[in-house]
Amino acid sequence: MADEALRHAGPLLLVTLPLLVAAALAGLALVPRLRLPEAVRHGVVAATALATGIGVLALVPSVLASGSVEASVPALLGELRYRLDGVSALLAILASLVWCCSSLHAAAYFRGEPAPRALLYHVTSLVLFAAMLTVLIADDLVTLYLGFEWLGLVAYLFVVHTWSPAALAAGRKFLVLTLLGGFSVLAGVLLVYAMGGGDVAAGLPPEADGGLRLAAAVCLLLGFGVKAGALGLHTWLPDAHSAAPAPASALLSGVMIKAGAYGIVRVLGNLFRTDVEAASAVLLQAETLGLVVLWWGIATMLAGVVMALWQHQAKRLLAYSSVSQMGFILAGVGAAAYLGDRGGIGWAGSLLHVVNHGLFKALLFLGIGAVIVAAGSGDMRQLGGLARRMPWTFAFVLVGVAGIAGLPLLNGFVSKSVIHHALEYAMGQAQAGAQPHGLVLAERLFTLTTVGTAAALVKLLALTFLGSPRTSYERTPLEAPLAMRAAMAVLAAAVVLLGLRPQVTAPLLRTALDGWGLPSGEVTAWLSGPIGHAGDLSAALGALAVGTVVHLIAARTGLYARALPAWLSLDWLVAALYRVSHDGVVALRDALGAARARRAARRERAERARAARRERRARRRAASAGGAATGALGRDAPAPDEPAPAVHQRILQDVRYHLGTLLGTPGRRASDARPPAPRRRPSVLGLVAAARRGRRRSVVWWLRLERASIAASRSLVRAVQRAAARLDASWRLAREVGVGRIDEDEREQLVLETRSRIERHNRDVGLSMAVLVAVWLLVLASLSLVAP
Amino acid sequence: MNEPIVSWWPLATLVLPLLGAVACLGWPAGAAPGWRRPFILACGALTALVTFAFLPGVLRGDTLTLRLLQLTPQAWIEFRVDPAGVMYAATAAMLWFLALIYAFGYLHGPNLPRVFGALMACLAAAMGVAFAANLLSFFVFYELLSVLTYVLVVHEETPAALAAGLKYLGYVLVGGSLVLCGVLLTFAIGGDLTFVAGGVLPADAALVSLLITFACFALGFGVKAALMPLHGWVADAHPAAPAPCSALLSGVMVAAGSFGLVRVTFEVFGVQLLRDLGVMPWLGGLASVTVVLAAVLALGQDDLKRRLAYSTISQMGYVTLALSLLGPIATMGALVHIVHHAFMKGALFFCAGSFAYATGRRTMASLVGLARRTPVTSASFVLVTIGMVGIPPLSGFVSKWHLGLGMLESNAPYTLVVLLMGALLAAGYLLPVAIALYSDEPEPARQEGASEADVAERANAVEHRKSLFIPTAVAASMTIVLGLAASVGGLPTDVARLAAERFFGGG
Repeated sequence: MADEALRHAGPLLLVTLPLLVAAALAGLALVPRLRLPEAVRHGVVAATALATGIGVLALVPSVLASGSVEASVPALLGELRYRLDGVSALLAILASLVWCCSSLHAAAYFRGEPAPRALLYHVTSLVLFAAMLTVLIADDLVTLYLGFEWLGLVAYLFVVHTWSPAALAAGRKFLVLTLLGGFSVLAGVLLVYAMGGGDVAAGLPPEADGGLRLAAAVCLLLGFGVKAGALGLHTWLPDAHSAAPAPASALLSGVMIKAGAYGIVRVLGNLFRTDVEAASAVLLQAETLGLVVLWWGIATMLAGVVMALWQHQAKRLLAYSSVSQMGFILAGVGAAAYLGDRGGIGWAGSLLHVVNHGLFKALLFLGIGAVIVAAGSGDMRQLGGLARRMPWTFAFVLVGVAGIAGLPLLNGFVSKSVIHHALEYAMGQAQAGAQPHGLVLAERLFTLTTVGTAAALVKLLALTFLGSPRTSYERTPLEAPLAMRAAMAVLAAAVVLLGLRPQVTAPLLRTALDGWGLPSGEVTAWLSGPIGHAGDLSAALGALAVGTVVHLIAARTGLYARALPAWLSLDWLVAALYRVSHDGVVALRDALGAARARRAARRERAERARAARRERRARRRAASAGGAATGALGRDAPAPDEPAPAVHQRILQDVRYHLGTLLGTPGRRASDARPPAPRRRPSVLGLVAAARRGRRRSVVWWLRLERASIAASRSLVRAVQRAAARLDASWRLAREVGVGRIDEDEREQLVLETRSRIERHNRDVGLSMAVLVAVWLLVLASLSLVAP
Repeated sequence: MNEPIVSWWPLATLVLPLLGAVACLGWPAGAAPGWRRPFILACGALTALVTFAFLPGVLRGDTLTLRLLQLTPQAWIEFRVDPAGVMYAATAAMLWFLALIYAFGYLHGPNLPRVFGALMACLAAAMGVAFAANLLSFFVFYELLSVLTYVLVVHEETPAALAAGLKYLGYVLVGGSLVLCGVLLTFAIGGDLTFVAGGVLPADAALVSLLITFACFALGFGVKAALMPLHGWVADAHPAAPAPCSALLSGVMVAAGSFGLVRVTFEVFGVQLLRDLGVMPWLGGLASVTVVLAAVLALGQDDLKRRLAYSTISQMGYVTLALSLLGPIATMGALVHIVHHAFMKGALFFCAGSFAYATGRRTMASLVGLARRTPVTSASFVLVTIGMVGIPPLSGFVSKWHLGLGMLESNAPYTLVVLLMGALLAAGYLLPVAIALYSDEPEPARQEGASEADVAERANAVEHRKSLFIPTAVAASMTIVLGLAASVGGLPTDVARLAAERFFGGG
């Protein structure tokens, strides 16, 4: 019973262990007496990863026996459910292994780092480990999303570890794209739940709406595609991976981007795989999506390798190579989904490649990290000749390069051959179905990419380790410390082991395929049979040979020195779009400004013309009245150098003038300290004159109504103003005088200030009151409509 | 639903804060002055406890009612304790309690009795808003809350604060009048003002009058709920008010407008009538624009409190948007979001206040590298930022999840885009602040005003002042509690589900 209970708590323990250790590390750091030595802390992190790996291994027999081990914890929206099955277990073992090695490597890499920063690195690393495991062993999509978001957000701390401007810029880009991807996944998850799904390992209900299915597929693929570095969404990856410290890059590139690939595997392998009988032909299915993903993968692998060839920074080269390798995985997944019931070999190939790439890419990043520590730079143009100084590191990197280039007897060869076979199957199926879809081309591009990969990695190896040093090193590069060598040795051993005996993964792969209901005999036979077919062998060796030749030609002819045209970069495109839109906005703003200036000029001209007309009229009238009324008219003429008042000021003046004529008081307010503003004859008065002349009753009544309403609102405003002013001034005075802070003069000043401040804002109140009156009129009208 | 029970307890939630207000304004001369603060705090705490005590009964399906006095021949001041009301009241009371503690540490000067009295009186008014059983009672307390808040806004009496106060007053008075118009129209059309699930307005009334009534309510409450063309006061009043008051302003008082919309939508008009009227898509459109536009505007603010104010406008847009969909899950999401947002925004304003206290200013540049001096406050800020973005397992995710599901349930997938865009922009305007807090380089801008030593001293004072950082940390940790334990009975998600079921006529 206890055994049973422990087994069911197992998946939970896997996730909580790293979190608990992280909390303990952070907590211990707060207490000065309990602060752990640096080496111990590294050891703790590595041991945690190792323990987790052993935990996964311990659960593997149960997984093999029953297909999966499940657990749940009541939290969030009900419960978070975990489920360890074949796929999850395979990737969880990979994650634990790489994490363990990377932590070991970090022990030497961060020597001399300030303590808080190293601590932050450890805590970050453990939280990310927990998040990664959560993604891998989540049973429902909410749990998966939880892990996925934290994986993205916390990885930001890895990217900006050095807080250098370049790292911060890379971090910003990383954060933006990761958040976009995360929200895209959230949208997809919401859509899946709205359709009635929600389990990671279950298919969508076949009766779900077609539009929603399409939307969910697009959202999920885009979201996971960001993490996986699929073409078009990959731009964060080279920046982030090269900005992070090397052990972190190994984790980012070796494990974390696999979360995206894992997501796509689940989308194509579980969510959108419907029973062929149950589904109607119109429904979007894994087959169609598979074709899309396959081509996306092909494009990614090709573009990635082309970019990798032109890099000078070793870490950037490796990062682009990661993009390319993710393309291999996506192509395999796509082919598998496209093949439907015969897709077992595709799934197996891409899962194997996830594991293999994790191993050798982590190995390469750790190796380059060792080089950077030893030589002080990762720029391949300034390295060279390190093989003699760092023989162990060279050997390990050599294993990694051979693995990624697909040399037989190493693991890359196995998975690439399997994926290649899946592609050939897909090609055959497409031709048999009389829909060739150009998959032949896909297969050719696949081969071309293999050549490119070989060339790029040979470049890395040759420029870094071979030949003679291109610059004199500041300090003599020394062999990597023991911790680094140990970490690399473990990974290199895994690379060799999986190349020589790939069948060790067969049981888990079989369980995974069983879980999908796919036959696994072919895959098992393939893995445990002799190493590759003759065709695969010759293809792999040929690719390596051609790749080496490509590198030699490129190095001799100076092709590497040429920069790729800037417009090939997506960043350039984004920047160009930004520039265009920015320029557009600026141009629009300028145009609007010019228009406003023109309008103002026109208004001023009109104003001047009107003033001149008024002047003429006044002169004429003065002439007719014998010059008796000049005093009254003087008020109407604008002061010569007074600027034209704004529209609302003029309206206010009009209103004031009305009130003045109505109430028989002068038009300026008592509190107005400034000289009277120039009055103009308001346009309404022209109407009055017209009405007087014509004695048109309606006009007169309208004007009376208008005056009355203006007067009413005006007096309301005044009352409020007066009250507010009194209240305000008294408060302020009481306070200021009360605390004896001001004398009499200042008080006077204060009163004036307060008044003018309130006047500045009375326009707001006036407008609100006018709105209020309008609303009341409206309500009265509607009440009269409603009333019986 | 069980028979209503007549109870005097709802009145206690008004009397207790009013007692506190009296104590603030005039403490008996002979009494021990040292007991004044504990007494006020106790009033706040007891109010919160009473609202929590309503929860078990409400979860059982009980309804407490109380007819207090007859205001007009047509309507009584009447209280009723229902799920939505309890949810709002408990949130308000708890945030108030935290804000009171914070205010004791934060506010200084000669006007303390005035502002604390207004605070307690506002709490009473908020309780009235939560428990009002009919439109007229609701309106009375709503207007009281609006007007009393003025005192909080102008507390500092700087020219900016006075100007903001005047603007605030202009806006809410117009809004309140519109609500009053709505109340009158409702009475004229329906002849009844009591809140009843399913609505009191007859479906066969004249279309024009129904539309005008709805417009009055939507615009009137829209002013308070910061619906976009009516949001002008928010961005001025929040920075002008002192930090604890901004927290309440943002968490509870803006939400009072949204709460009014909830009441009107489900208990005056009713879902069916609103569907027939077809006005909700318009409101939804406005709310969508609000969510996105306010978030974009927030991006460009250099004053942290202004940034947060725009964030409030954007977040409350979610609530209005979800209401406009008229679906049960969306409604539940809206109610939950009111609560979750209250605590998150409360915590953020507390943080902003502490930062301002530490540096003497509120610009982005002054925040750089502050985390070293204010670790707890900065960590709270980061935590709540992640919550606001909607990352599980924090509370922001829970409300966003229900909002999103509700949007899909109501066949409005386009609103999902609005939701996610709002969340992305929230990351855009909050994460840079968090990153700045933890950046290394102190900017020269900070040194020219206050000397580094001065800043250090004040900043250390922030973390040693318990009344400042304890409320901050508690409000921030609510983000975790309300998120991780979202499915536990009696917490907002559960109560909101009950309320939504009640509104939609289910059991």
